[in-house]
Amino acid sequence: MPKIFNKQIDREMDYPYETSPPKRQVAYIFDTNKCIACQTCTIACKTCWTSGRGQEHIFYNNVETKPYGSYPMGWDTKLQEQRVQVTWNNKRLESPTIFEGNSPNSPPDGWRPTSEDYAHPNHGEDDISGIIEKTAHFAGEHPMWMFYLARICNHCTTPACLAACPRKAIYKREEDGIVLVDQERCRGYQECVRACPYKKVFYNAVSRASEKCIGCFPRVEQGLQALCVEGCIGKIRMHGFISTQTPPREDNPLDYIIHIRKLALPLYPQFGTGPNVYYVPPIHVPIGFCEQLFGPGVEESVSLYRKLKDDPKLLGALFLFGSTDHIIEHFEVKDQVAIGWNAKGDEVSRVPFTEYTYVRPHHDKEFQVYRHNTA
Amino acid sequence: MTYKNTLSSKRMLPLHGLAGAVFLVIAAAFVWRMPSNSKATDTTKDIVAVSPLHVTKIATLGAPDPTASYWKSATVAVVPLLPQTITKPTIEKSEIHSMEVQAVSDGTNIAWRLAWADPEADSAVDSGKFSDACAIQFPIGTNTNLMMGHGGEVEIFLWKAIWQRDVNLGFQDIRDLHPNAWTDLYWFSKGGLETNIKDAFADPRAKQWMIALTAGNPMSQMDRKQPCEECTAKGFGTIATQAQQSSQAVGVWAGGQWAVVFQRPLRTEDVTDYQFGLHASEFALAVWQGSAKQAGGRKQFSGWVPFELLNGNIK
Repeated sequence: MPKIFNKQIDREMDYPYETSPPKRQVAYIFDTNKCIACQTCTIACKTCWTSGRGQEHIFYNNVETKPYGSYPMGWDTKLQEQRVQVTWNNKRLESPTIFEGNSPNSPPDGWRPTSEDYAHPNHGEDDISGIIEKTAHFAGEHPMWMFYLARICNHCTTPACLAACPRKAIYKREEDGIVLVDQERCRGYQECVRACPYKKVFYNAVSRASEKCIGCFPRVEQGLQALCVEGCIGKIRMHGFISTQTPPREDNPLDYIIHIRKLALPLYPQFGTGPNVYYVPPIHVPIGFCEQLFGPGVEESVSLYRKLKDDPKLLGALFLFGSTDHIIEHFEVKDQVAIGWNAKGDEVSRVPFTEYTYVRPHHDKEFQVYRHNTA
Repeated sequence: MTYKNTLSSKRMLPLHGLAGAVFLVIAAAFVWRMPSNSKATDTTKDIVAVSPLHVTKIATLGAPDPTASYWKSATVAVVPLLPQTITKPTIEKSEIHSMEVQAVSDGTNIAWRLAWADPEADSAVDSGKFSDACAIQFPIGTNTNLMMGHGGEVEIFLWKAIWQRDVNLGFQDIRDLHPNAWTDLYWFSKGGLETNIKDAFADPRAKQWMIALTAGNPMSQMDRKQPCEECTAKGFGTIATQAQQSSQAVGVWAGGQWAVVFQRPLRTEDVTDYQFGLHASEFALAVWQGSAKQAGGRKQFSGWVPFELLNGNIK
């Protein structure tokens, strides 16, 4: 089996195909600390892409509450239960990925969800990690925690769905790394559904073919961010490209946050698929739990996040989240203002560190009305 | 009991080592027997024959019918099956160990009856739910590999229980799978889940979310007339539905057994079709056990089995 170098696990790994990185790779950053699970992203996506019959159970985007929430049911725990214990040696993964250690004629290790597994997309919602003892709230802080995990297809660098499809009906686009299921070619074997460790490929019982998040490619082709990103009212998301064939650029907000500053981390890098949705891990959750999800860089990331107020460039990059529906190709932070430009060089975003305040007179002479400023 | 390999060695040549070994096992093991009422797995009445399966001549073939009386007098080949372990994805063990095959012809049309034991009929498809299915494959040209015609080309007649259900009862809709399902709105559709999908989604705007259907994916057909399709394959992962379909099929499950009949003119005008009497007279089988979540390469298959059309078979 060919060997591929996987940067996220800092070693070579087995993958069924020889691959080289696409010209550029679509990527996302989700700041878990800002998500309130309002599901606006979920609905933006659902309304646009999965409103047809046969798609009732399909959420290309979902937001689940960790530690207990999951959609489909137990998508991560079920796979972990059938895998060996994950071990890291510093940033290098020692244990096998889902492509390794299987019998020679086996596709990537996975499991098959049933329709019942999709039936409770919000189970565990808002549940905290344990019971709070009576009167504990009088003491101020208590040790219980939860956080919201927004999930879409990771448009992986080495996708398991693509590796598993015996018909080669799944492909990764050279121009942007978006992973798609060829809707003309798929014959509904559900091998991709079984193999995707994130369970973000779905079987449509009406079309009798598999479907997945299309990375809003018709928008990306127009230089626009995905609907789940544009719709996010908490401004937790950024969508753009990371450099693949050249070193990361300081002026590319995604390169800067992910690769240069290492603030955002991949979800379950130990699976080995090279996911391209990167998460700013929650800062109030036990490190052990976070490391299980986001790998060995959590402590570093949390420490960086806690010092953001003294880190203007990184803070400015985060301020660009949700500030425009355009993909930001270049950014700069200058004089307490973050500015973003699109691929054509047009300024598409300008965010001051401190929002402008306007104090209006109590009496508006023009309209002869009185206004009460509440700020 | 002795067995004799009746297959010509030319078929073995293009197979690589493992496939060749599997092929030899199958070739050494298939047996013929006279018709009986026994189940497909009951091989106690097997007799060994060295000749190919005879296509039994009958006066007239009507519509395909697995229960027709002429099957009682047609020769039966009991063909052993093996788990597909040559390419991924594989199955670890066989769920179905053999199939009974018969063929009859009236000189114009030919019918193939495939029967196998299956305690339950699986005809629903959904997430993690798969259909029973069977297929018969014929070689086009020479040096045709058993495995999906690798190196050459094969024609495959494929039948699925879900397609049979579509034909018998109408297209399987969400309410058939989930009777209590509810959805507030499907854009541009008329009626909710209780309305038949073809009527509810007549407006082309409502079909915007049915991408595979809109793309012309043959899997997404809603008005299927036959529970089968004719396909061409030229190797692993290449199966493709033919543009012109000449086959008919009927599958019936009764008493713990599936019986499926494929029927087609012996000769067709379709250049992509296998032509009986012109191409090599061999077939191979595949069967999928839906309850074991088998689909695609996860199947049981046979080696090439010779058959014989009598001289007067083709008008």
